[in-house]
Amino acid sequence: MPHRIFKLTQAHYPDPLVDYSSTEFIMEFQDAAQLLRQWRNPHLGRSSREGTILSIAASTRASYEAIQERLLTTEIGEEEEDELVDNLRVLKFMLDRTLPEALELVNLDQLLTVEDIQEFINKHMQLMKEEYGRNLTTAYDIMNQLTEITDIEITDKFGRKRRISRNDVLDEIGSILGNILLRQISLWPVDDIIARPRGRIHLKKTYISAIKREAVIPPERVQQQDLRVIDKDRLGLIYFIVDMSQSMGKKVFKDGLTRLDGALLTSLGLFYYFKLVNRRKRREFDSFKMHVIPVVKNPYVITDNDRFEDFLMDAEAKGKTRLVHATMAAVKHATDTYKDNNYDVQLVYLSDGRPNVPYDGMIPGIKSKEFAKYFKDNIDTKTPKSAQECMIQLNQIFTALKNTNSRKWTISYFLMASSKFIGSSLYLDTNRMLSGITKPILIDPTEVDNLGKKILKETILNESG
Amino acid sequence: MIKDDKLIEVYNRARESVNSIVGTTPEDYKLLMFVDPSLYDSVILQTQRAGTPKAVISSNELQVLQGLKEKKHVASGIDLIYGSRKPKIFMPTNRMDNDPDGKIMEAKLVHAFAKVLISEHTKSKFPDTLQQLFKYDAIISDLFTNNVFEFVNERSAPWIWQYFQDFTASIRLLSLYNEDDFYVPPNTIRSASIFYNYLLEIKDITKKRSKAVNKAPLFDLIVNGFADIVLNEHLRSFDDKVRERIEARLKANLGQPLGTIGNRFLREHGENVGDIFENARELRNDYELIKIWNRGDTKKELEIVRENLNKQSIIWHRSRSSYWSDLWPLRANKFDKIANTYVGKIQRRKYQQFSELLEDSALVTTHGRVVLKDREVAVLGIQEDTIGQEQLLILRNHLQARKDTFVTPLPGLPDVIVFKKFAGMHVASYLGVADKTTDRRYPSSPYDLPLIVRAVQVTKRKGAYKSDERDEDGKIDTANYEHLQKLTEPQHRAIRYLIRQGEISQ
Repeated sequence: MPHRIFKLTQAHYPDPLVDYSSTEFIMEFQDAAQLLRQWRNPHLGRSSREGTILSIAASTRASYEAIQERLLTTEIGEEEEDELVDNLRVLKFMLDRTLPEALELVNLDQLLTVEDIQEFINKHMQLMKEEYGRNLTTAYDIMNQLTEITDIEITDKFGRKRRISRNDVLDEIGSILGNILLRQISLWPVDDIIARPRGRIHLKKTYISAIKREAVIPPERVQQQDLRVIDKDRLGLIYFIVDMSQSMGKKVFKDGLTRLDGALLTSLGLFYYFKLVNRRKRREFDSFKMHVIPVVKNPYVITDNDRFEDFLMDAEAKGKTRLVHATMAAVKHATDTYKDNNYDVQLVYLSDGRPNVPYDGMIPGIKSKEFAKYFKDNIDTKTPKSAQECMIQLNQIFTALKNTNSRKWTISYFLMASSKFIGSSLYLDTNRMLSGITKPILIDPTEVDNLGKKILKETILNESG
Repeated sequence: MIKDDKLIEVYNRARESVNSIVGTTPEDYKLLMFVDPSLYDSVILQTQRAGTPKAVISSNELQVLQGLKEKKHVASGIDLIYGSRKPKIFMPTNRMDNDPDGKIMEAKLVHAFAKVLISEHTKSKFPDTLQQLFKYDAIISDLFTNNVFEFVNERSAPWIWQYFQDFTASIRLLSLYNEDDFYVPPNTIRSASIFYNYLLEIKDITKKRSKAVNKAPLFDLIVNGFADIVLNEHLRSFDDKVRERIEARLKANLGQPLGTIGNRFLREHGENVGDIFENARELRNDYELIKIWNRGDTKKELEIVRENLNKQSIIWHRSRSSYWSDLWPLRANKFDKIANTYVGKIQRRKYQQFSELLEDSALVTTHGRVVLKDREVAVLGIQEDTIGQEQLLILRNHLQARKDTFVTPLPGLPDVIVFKKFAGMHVASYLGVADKTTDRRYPSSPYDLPLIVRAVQVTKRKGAYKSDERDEDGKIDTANYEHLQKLTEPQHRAIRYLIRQGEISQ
């Protein structure tokens, strides 16, 4: 009974998506021009700017939903599938971060025309595409290319010269560093958990409860009832402990970059990242409080954000490495100033390795005999006695902090050295010192060749293009 | 009509297959094949957004949808079936490409016929409602084209096309949520001009349409579930190798959450497909389908369905690198939404009608008014693309009509504050008219108004609403915020900020 089949063309069935406001319908050119002029009238102030953002947001949301639908219902090839997934990530980022920021800038009168807004968004999108792209190493590459953080003069392809301040550069780097953390997160965190509870999941405690329930190690699966969530209102205290001893002044990297430069660069990057996170989080207070403790004779704590920035910009390398002293100062500051246990503490070390001035006073915790034995057994070690003593002390403090129940202490340890360093006794000692606590991270600005230049070039291209 | 032997052969095979599986075939339907696939894309987009293939959509939404078409983000794999009493199956002709023996098209047709069959025979009112909606939308669309054509000729004002279109679409959305009472012109004005006559007529029909929508029973699980059962039965008749080949191409038909979940429930309603069909005909809504289990049992059973889907769904995706990280989570997320939200709500609260679901998560809400010295500002929440900036202008014109006796639908102008969420951002926007001093003799079109728009991100962040302009004086206190309701603290602050901004730029 094929009589029920009808083949249709445009003549039988007009396209329902007819845009009556399009110029085809408005026969008079004058009318169309007038409509346009009204909408884009510069005297209307911000109307058109905010209107632009709202309409971009609406079309972004529509794309975001349509792509999901297409991925789940339409036959498409591998290439397009990958492309759409990437697109989805970029759109999500745009809705979550780029557009709110653009709106804020419009309200502050920093983006003045519709073109400004478009440019701002394009710039963001390009960065995102590079980061979220299939080849996820791009962002690392960008990071790994920074050679200088001082002001840079660059000539673009039209021969125009331009000077860019390091603030600009670091702002970019900060956002890149932070986005690296976000990058490999899946679009939807789905596994066997049906609905995700609010808040961040506390992995360790969740595993422990799963093990208890299943009585097997490792547990076969994690169920809803096992989930433990971190208290939403917890805040973070971040202490950057920056080694400023003489050895940090050594020029070890290409282009005469010292270890200290590397350390400062890293902490600045992290500083800007956390600043950005504070700005983006929608709460009334900052989630992260940052401090810096220079490793000098009498370590002191800098809490004010502006002074912090200044300090990192103008630091100088001299003196001995009093890491233990600085650590004690940080612990004292955190426990005395923030008595409320809602604060988690993160200690970030940026050093070239060997502390050499042992601490005289009381140190919390119990000395690790194993670690002391490690040095004793290792007879031909070149590590000086003082450094050994310091490392044992640090290990003691770290272990004690880790075992504290009242609040959470986390430690990150950055070593300013190239990856060749990985077999050296210094690295092995440090690794041993931190075993069970964290892993040392090697930071090497040399491998990282043209990072800054690349970012700057792109900034310029975007601005002039 | 174009003669196509291959299509007719496949079509007849599909009908035979349905006949052998269920014992009967659908009779009163149309199969509409679009020669131009891009036209088919338009129809899908339009039907999904507005409900029927005839509905008039606003210019704002049109732009959004056209953007999707340009960017090739349309889910063109979907087979569109309008399941009214006289059902319509929409398909593009290119479905027959890459399908030498027609087995894939055959399976798709079997799937469609199953939906058509249940729509023809069910005792539920759902297909009748769709029939009504189609009729109302067809009337509106005809009224729209005829009247506007006359009117444009009469006044030679081309903006009227868009004005009527936006008005019609906006009123349709608002009357769904009973928020259209701001526009109540007296009946006597009907004879004044075609314009008023049209507006009154439209108002009347959209009201009827909304009533029909609200009374519609929830029916998606039954239609899709039954079609899923029939399609699976059809596929079982092939040997494994052929079946695997066909299944891999049925991305839009198999594994969709409504289908798989409906399938699971329906299988409890009979032994073989014939029985199931007889019993499914008796079901009036999804609640009757799923009330057989309590919440706990449902969760257990659906967990098994979800796991099977997990194992099966990889055949529909080519990308190996992002399957586990992104594509499966996407599918699972969609499945969970249906399994937890839709099924959960029906089971817990015994929802039977569409209106109950609508009220539960309303897309349009009113939050009252802010009263200023010289005017009022209406506060609305609109989570829909139908109403954008330009449509707000029209709405605002008509909001005025509520206060005075009806004079003209053209510029009246109380201002509007609208809350809108776009995934990660929540925006409050203010729409007002810039000059109060001129005596409102505006030019020929309602779009020519000198308007102000301000928008701000709604946030808890301290200092979010600070700006230089704000701290000038205490003019703000003249505003009366007592008539606001159901708002959060950040929303209140956003309103105050926007009101102040409005005062300054006036």
